[in-house]
Amino acid sequence: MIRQLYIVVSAIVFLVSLWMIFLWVPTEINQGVVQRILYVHVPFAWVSMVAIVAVAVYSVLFLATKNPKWDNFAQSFAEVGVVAAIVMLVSGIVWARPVWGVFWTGEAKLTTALILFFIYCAYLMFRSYFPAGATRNRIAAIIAVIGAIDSPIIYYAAQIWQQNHPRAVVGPLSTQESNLNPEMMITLLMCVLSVTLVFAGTVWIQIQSNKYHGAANA
Amino acid sequence: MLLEVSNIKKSFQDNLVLENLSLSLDLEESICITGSNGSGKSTLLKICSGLLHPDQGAVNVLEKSFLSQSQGLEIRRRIGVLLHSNMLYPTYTVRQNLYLFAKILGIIEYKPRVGEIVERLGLDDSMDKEVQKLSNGNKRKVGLCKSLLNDPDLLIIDEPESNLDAESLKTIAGILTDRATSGKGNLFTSHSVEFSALCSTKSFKISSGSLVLL
Amino acid sequence: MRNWIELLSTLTLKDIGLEIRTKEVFTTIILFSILVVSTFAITSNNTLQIPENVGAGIIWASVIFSGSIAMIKFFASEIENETLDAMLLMPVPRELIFFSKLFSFFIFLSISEMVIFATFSIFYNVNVFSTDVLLTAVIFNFGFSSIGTFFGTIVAKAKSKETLLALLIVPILIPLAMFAVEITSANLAGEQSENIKTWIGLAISFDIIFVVLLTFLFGKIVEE
Repeated sequence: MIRQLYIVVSAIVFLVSLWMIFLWVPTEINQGVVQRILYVHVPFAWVSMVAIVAVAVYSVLFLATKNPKWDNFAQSFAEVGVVAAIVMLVSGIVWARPVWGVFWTGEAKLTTALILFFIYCAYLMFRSYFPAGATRNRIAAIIAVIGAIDSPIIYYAAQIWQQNHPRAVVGPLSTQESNLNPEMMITLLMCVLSVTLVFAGTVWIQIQSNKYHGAANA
Repeated sequence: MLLEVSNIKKSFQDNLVLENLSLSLDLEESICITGSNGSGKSTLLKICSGLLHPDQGAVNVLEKSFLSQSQGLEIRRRIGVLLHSNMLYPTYTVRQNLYLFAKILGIIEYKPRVGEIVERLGLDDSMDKEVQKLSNGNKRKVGLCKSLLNDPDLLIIDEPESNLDAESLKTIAGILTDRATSGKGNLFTSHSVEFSALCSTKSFKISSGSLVLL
Repeated sequence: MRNWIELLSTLTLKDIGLEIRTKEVFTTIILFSILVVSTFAITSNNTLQIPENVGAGIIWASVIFSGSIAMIKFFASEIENETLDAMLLMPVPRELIFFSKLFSFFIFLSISEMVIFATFSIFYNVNVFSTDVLLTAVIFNFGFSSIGTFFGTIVAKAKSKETLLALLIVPILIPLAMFAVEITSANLAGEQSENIKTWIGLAISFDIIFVVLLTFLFGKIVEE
């Protein structure tokens, strides 16, 4: 019953947010139509960051308690999170070209996001290539924790780097600040809610799937 | 008690290898474990030597546990281990390998000690040969020398008779018997009934993950 | 304490002795890096006009990738002959095993880098050897060796070792890579980096954090 209700609510929120993005929200003055990409980019950036924190937290819980449930949670968040990260990066690149005049800059947040994406990939690749078992799960959790500890260092280094090598953006809209009026803010929040609901549902399905595959192999 | 294994369980990727397995080994005992291929003999030895940890149950060697780092170090000073692989540096000579491990074990007068063991196993002529150039039988003997360097209280060997000729088998059986007589303990696996009869005081068979006294 | 130092030197000298016989790590780092540096030189129009930060990037990218491949070789023999297990069966604290591998690889990498710097100097007609760059190399090599040793131990039993190790090491090493490129490119331009003290502070902190963390975690990854 709860599952069906969740699906219905998520579908409604998703459809409403689609309507809002394409039909309801006014076009932003400075960036134009391109600005609508941010209604995709920002929510996926949000869930990517949630996922990476979740992977680290559940990995710590797994190392502390040795309960395989937490390892399953960490793995599931990573698997869905890496897809969200790809959407975040690609949508960001597509948005950046017309607005900043370049596909990519050395901005600290971008660098950190890209490196964290690689750490996600490394975590999942390791799980794939190492023989399955308790040792693999323990080491994967350690990799996740190391990635989490390195993240603030990466961000700090990228910030110093950015100071020495200022952002090379030359697009016509590069110097304009984005203006978010109330309708845009409501649309953005609706999109964040929509993507969060879909993300959470997908993670839940992945957790059940991983649990089933674990039981099937027993 | 030299070795106390209590109700251990070990699985690999959901494959249950050992279940409810218990074993005790006291001074002057030489225990042989037999069993078919894949029955868990090597896994049991790895657990007793601290290379693997059981999923459940406890292992105490010399009344100490591998779970404590400091106790683990003390145990390793007093046991000798030779598993299926000889665990030697192939590009080092026999002499270099044995001197290295003797130094790591903290043996102060290691040269005479190495000479004594090498002589007993008939490896005098091979001391300056690279391990990779030795026959499988001689490599096995070098591995055995390594495990005997510190005159261990407990010797753990996986199939000591593998790759060895009849003469060498007698020598090794003699070493194991002498050790048991002088108050030490041996735990080994074997496929050879004759070898087991020569030098074990007790024999067990691993069956369905547990031990059965023979 | 004296016993630990003796043990550490025995283990480190063991790795050095083995490497002197096989020379696998040295040849891998040196040959692969020379290949990368010379390929860039051959395929660029004018090596005399290459921007400093690009040149610095070439040096350190070649060090990172050749070092990753060499790390696999460093552990390959240990896994094949189960000599890492032999050490785990010895009365040696896990931390000492980690440190001995770290110091050994640090030595191999540092020596190999001199050849890489010389090659770059020849192809690009610059002098890479300066106090700043050599200090950078020491700090970078220490961090790289600690992270490489840790992850090299992990992937030794996995499939696609080379790819997996590079994918694990490179993202973690980014702050050190940025530090190395920044100092080197400033040096190639004949200047000193504006934030040199900040960068050095960051890099040393990085090394300390990771050596402490990975030493603590090493025991957990070698035990099954």
